[in-house]
Amino acid sequence: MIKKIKILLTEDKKINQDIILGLLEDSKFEIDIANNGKEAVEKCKYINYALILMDIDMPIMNGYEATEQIRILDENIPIVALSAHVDSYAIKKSREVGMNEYLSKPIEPKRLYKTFFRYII
Amino acid sequence: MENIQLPYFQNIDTNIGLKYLNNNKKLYLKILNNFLHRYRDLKIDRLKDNETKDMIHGIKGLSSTLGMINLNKVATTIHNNKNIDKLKDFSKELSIVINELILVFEKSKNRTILLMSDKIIDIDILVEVFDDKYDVVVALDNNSALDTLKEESISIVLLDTTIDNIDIFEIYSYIKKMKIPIILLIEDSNKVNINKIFDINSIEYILKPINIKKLEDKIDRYLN
Repeated sequence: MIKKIKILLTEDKKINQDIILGLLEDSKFEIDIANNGKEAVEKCKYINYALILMDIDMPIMNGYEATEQIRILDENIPIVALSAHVDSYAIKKSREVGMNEYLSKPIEPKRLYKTFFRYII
Repeated sequence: MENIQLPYFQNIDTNIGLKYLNNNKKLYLKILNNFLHRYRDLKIDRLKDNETKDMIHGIKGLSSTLGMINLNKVATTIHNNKNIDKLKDFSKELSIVINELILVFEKSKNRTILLMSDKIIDIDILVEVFDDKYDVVVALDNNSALDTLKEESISIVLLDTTIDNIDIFEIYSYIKKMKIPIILLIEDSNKVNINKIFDINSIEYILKPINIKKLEDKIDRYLN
């Protein structure tokens, strides 16, 4: 069996999870889901992901806080922000907490794949 | 499956939706359907301030992905300017989209196809093709078909004539008596035998291997 590349999708809304899962359905990526930042941090303690897709606005723990905590565990793992909320503050803040890239929603599949290629393949 | 056809939407730009969903029509329909279920019973005036903010934020992202242009415009205005005065316009645009989705998904969804077949491969394909548009109920044999016909309101029956241990004529007559349209699925090699039971010119049938587009057209003609 071909080993799939593991990606963590951190997103609280089921409907947005379905969009990403649907886009990557037949790809060589295996998508694991965290429903908020806290779940993402917990998962990162035990599983080595090739990349993390991180929503920003989430309940319990948002994407910025989660990234800060994950960076303590792992300096290098690529973390890509996904957000419908784009302004200079959000982009600056995402850099500060240690995110590698910022993808604005709606996410163009091509841009998503390009990002994967840049960091993983 | 690429023979899925997108319904016509007046208030949704499907070209935009397809662009963001990588031309995956099945995924697009699924997400639109999810959108409908998530927001159809939303009572905006009963939300607390932070819930309203979250809801606008969520819909802003989704509406742009799904091609709901007018809804997205209002959501973006409210989101960017923190302009709650526009909430009325937002409600209006949301209900326009929701009503259209209800019309498209539920008008056809309350139509049920009874598929009588014991050929797993046909069942898989037909359920996959029709499940987005109609409810599909499968009966593998006579008894479960009769039960389904008694219990559910069936709009049309697809009857595979190669099904084992079944009296085609008996079940055909039974369904006809109920005044439910019926399409026979006939193996080309078996056409002669079928012709002995029915007058092939007076029945609705389709030859196997099934031409999905033809079958879809036939079914749509009966149901719409």
